[in-house]
Amino acid sequence: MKKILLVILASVSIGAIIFLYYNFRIAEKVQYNGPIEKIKIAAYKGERSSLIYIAKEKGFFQDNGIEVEILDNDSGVRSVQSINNSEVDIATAAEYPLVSDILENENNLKIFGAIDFVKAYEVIANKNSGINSIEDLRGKKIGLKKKSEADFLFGVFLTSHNIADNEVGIIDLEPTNAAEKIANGEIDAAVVCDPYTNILKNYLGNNLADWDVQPNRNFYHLLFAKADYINKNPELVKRFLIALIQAEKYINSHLLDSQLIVERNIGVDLKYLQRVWDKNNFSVSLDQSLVLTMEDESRWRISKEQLNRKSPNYLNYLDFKILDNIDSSRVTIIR
Amino acid sequence: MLLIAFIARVYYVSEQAMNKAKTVNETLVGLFELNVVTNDYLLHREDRALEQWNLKYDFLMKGFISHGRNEANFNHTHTEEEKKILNEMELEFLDIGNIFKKISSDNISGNLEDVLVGQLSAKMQLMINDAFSIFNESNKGVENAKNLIFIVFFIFLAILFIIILMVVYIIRNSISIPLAELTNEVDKISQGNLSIKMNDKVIASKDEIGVLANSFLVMTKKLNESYQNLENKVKQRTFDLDRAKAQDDAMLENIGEGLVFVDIQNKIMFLNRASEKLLGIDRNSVIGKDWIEVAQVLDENKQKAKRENLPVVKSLLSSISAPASVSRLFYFTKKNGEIFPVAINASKVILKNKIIGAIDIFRDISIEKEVDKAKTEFVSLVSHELRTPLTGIRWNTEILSKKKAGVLTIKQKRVIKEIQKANMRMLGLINTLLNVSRLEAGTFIVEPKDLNILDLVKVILKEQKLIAKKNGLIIKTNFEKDIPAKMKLDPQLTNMIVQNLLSNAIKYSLSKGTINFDILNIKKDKVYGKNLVKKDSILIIVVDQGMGIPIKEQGNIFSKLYRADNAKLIGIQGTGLGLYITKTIIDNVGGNIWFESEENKGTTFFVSLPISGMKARGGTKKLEK
Repeated sequence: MKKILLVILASVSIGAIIFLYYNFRIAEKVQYNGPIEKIKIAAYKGERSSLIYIAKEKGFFQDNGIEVEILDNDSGVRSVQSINNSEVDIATAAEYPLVSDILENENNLKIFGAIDFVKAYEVIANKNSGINSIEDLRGKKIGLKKKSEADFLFGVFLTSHNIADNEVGIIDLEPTNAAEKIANGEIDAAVVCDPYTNILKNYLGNNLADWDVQPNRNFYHLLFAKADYINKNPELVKRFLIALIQAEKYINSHLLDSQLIVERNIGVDLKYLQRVWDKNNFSVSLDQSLVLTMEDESRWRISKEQLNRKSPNYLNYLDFKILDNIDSSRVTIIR
Repeated sequence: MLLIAFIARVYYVSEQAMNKAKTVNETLVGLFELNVVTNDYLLHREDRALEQWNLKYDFLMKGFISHGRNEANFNHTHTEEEKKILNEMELEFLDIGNIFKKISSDNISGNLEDVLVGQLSAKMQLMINDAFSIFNESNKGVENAKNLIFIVFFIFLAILFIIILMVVYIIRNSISIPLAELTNEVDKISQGNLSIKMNDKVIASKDEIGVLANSFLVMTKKLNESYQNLENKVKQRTFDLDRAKAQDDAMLENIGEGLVFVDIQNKIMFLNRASEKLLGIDRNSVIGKDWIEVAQVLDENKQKAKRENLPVVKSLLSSISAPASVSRLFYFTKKNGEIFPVAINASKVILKNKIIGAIDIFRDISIEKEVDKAKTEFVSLVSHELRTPLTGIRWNTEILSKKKAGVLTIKQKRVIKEIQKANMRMLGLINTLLNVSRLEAGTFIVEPKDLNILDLVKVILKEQKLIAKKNGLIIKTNFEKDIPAKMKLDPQLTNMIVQNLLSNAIKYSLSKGTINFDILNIKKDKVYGKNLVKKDSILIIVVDQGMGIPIKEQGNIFSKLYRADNAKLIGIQGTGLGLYITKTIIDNVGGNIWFESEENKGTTFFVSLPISGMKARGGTKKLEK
């Protein structure tokens, strides 16, 4: 009888071990053992680049055999230039600077991921310039970075409020100079995003008038590179994306630590960062809506400038195979 | 076997249902995406939308819609209802492809395009409706599979429950019950019952419990034997102890000396019959009382003795390794107030390396004191009477040696010289004996005068250096410069102390090494030779490198007539009275003497005198030189 008991116990134990092994085994962490490769990246210096800062500080890039050098950029337009001039390997920008560049130059760029989906732009106006309502913008000097997301968003904003483009004076503005230009009276209002909105708001105090220029509309913070670079380094780009996905998971489990890392890297107050944090959706992805958004922006530009052409096929400017290969649920491009 | 076949069937059915549901799901999503891209294309006619439409259409075409035309698989996988819907869907899907191609072609009129767009929308809607129907059908299959899985799960639980019951039953019979029995027997043992009984089945069992039970029985048997053995030993030891106690009680009760055992707080724990008799007390009335209060101890001057000087107190306060404390002279007081001299020997009682009390053994030495006094007086008288004829002999031999009674032959001269030597030794001995008798009788005088101790010492040194030189020795001196110019010193006694120390150093140096003679002015309390010398003292130190004093004899070196064995062995002349006299003098003038010595390496004597000088003492006679 005892032998039967032992056999039953042994069978149940072995069965339980096999069951547990197959159902609850911890996914083996694939450790990269190859040589360290360098990537130079131009990143917008703001919370939109959080995944990049976290991946660097927490050593996720290093774990994936990448040594990353980050160059701070204050606009997506500058990032596109950095790629076109081969100053960097990878850059970050909102979709509109890329739409503009593709329309104008048809450079062979490839978007291979988005790392944020955000609402950040506002019109910040100086009441001392006589701006108390949106209508008051007529005849005023508005500073914004031309060809940037601000350019598109403000254009749509004016149209939706029945203000023609030629009723306002658009002045090309580096966001870092916005406060200085308002103080000097060179501009009456500025279209900027975080963290420059915060700087201007603090500066204007009681003289502040502000409006959201992107109601019902978020923009993407995209990762892009020259097509050649991606074609030559698919494994490196793959490891780069894996590191960013690890950073995304780190945010979910270590929110405060993540915010402290970003605070250190972009030099803003933690309270401000925590206030704007929820406007962001930090996720490595490629959505079908990105393609539709780019086409939308593209049609707006074509219409505005009365260009005799069709919107480009932006599928040709997307490389979703690498991210699809890592995690297909992150890619919703119809294919 | 039936169960395994059933489970395999359930696995197969559920796997098939799941796969079908997955495929249907993918198709449904694909159709939605195709619908989205269709609308997207119709809205803006973007090339990108056209490309995505073609991709999605081809995907769906390759997948669910055509089934690769594997009729066998098609018939086997789907129900009749599903087959019907799928056939309809396939036709609709082909129509959608054709309509879309016409719409996307460049040469189509506006009216026709509107009609075709309407048809396309209607077909897409039909496709989605059909896809939902298939989805619902496939969900039924999933529900069936779920039910089957639930049944399997239930059966599995039932089997598991039966197995658990069996396991519990087996464990209970083969482990729990025998263990409970064993525990029960262990409880009996813990209550002192070593006669245990064990179930025969358990004993006969070859498993671990059986082995444990057998081992337990053997252990119990051995424990029983051991217990019996121990009991016998305890009985024997108890008997031995009782007998020893009876012997001890008899001895303690019947010894002539008083014996008191006190605890660590000096409270009387035991007092023998002799003590009771000597002190004239009832022992029962003093148990637990302070022994020193009961005995009302007086010092040698018949003053109330200081507690810390009493041997019993010294014993209690001394270290564990310190020897027994022997008293000089104390007086106990009887209950009726009469005092009597006692010699006390106190020893500490140690248990487990801890002092738990002390034993005070004392005896009445009234008779010994009387005898000693008579002896001292006799020695004094005899010495005094002997000195007169010996002085006569000295004078007469001097007359003979100075030829005042005629010329002597050489042989006669030698004889006379020997007589003179023997006479001088005899006189020296007589003087020493007289000094001893005066010291013991307490009749000697101490007359301190203002003197320079260095002047006094230098005179002695002059003489002693000559003797040392004859013996091949050197005396090195070191006198501190700030030795007071005047101290109250009895010149004769100081002379005797210094001379005795130096002559001993010369005598026991055995003609080797150097003798150091130091006089220090002590300004701060400092330890010399393990004794604390208080400030404002003069310290005399005599160091020799001679034969030293054996450790075992160091305790007796100041005793009267005591001579160390190593000195006697090599025939060094001496009376054994020099250090006795020296210490008695120093004790009586308020000084202190001690030494440290190592056999064959030498001895160092220390004498401390207060800088205020010697205490004066009235008496009847001075000591002899």
